[in-house]
Amino acid sequence: MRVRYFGLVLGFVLLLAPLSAASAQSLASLAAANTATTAVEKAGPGCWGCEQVGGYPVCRGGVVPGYYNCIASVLQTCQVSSSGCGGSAAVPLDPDGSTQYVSRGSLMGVTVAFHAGDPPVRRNCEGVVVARKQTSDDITTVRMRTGSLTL
Amino acid sequence: MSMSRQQWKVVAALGLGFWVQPVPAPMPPAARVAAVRDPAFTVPDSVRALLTYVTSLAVDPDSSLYLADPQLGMILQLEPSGDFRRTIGRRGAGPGEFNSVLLLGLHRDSLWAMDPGLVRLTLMPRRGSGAVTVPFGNNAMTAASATRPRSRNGMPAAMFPDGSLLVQEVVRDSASPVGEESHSFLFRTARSLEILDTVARFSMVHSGMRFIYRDGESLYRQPFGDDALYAASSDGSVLVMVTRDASRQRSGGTFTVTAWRGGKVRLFSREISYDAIRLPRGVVDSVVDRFARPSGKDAPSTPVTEDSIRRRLFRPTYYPPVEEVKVSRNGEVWLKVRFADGPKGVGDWLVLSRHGFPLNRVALPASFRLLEVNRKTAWGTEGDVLDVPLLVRYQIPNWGT
Repeated sequence: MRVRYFGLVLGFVLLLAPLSAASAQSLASLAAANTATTAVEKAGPGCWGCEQVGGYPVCRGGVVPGYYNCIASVLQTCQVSSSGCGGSAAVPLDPDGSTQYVSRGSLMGVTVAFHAGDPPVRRNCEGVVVARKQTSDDITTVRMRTGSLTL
Repeated sequence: MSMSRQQWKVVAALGLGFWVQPVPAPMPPAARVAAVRDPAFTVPDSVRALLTYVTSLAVDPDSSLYLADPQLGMILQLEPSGDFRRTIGRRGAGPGEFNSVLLLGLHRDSLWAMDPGLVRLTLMPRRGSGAVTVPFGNNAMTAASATRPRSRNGMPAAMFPDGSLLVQEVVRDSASPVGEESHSFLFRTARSLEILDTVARFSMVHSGMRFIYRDGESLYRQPFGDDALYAASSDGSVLVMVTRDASRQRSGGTFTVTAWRGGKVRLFSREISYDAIRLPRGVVDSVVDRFARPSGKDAPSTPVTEDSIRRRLFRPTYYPPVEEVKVSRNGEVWLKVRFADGPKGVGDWLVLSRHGFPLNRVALPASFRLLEVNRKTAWGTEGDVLDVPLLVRYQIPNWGT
């Protein structure tokens, strides 16, 4: 009885093993894809800040540290939320070009100093997409074909 | 060696001239006319449905209209009658695409549009295709041969006829825990944002209320602020600035209107005296209530409390004398004023000639937001009961009589 059950269990496990491996792999890739997608979705179209120009409070892009979301309303207010385009979220640009930034966005690396007196550093503002050791042609190709890429 | 009697007279007159300061003359009475809504101008519902909050309007020499609504992600061009002609650009980040167009204007044969979302200004020919992109802020191009300091944080607000830009650069108060705005510079810059001139500097301590909370920030425009106002004609030919301290003690005061041609040559500076209107407590309460409890269409709710708003609200005893300023294509200056002798329940606009002399007082509906004016024609928006903006045109009869 015990042997028969053991065989049944073993058979079931053997039957499921390749499926589990495959599903684990696809789940991992799905998770990775989800992570990448979440990161890109969360990054939104830019690092927002609220500024005034001509008497209007407006959502201004390219602000680091900044926020992921911004709403300028008819009540003449500007509201930003979900901080994240700051020092921890921004991707550094290597000065030697070994790490390169790939994005279809318009807001490329900007020079920022996070604290008064700090030496300025370059930080990406939009997206979290980095490619290593690629030629500029590769980068252009990737930028044209994809909205995001994680390597 | 002693002075003759004639010389003494001259010296005494000169001395008296230095000692006696010029007194602002009371404003000469200007004729008051009521603007009339033009029934020949109607915007179709399909266009109206697109609009949320029109922030800028320019009139083409062929009388068609260009409209900017930051929520739209494109520019609308309408026929002179208000009918739809075409859209210009689309939402995106490529050349000729937009995120949120705040301001637009005309420059020679081109249309310029300032997009604070994409941090750039785009120039497009009014007929034909193509786009020239001028990034600003940290995205600005670095000119190798730059010899002048650059405006790093400013935003373009107009383009002058010579192609230079009017840039407003806001300076934050480093001592303020929330980084409140301290003052602004108005620069005339090259397209590389190299500063060519400082046109003006003005305080911004009564311009905004900034609140910082756990996961966000809110910036509110001070509804009764009395910091300087400025405006440029849509072709950039005339720039006007109004300094207008709200009176705290007395019911009367003065404000100053200064105009420049092309941001360089000063056309006039006129000091105008007025009798002010007291700011009622009920008006303050209703404004605070609207900020603290915005309805869905106004703005999303925030953690900012009514008490916080009351503490930071600038509340003068009297209304600031000037609420808005616009400059027409022919250089006339339109000032929305709150004077004690103004008609009740309407928007009272004082019109100055391009030399600074009062021409007319024009009565428009109080809810009318003036966007563009060309002598006796005014375009703007009115909100209906649902606060959906309705683009309308008014004619001013008996102009100048």
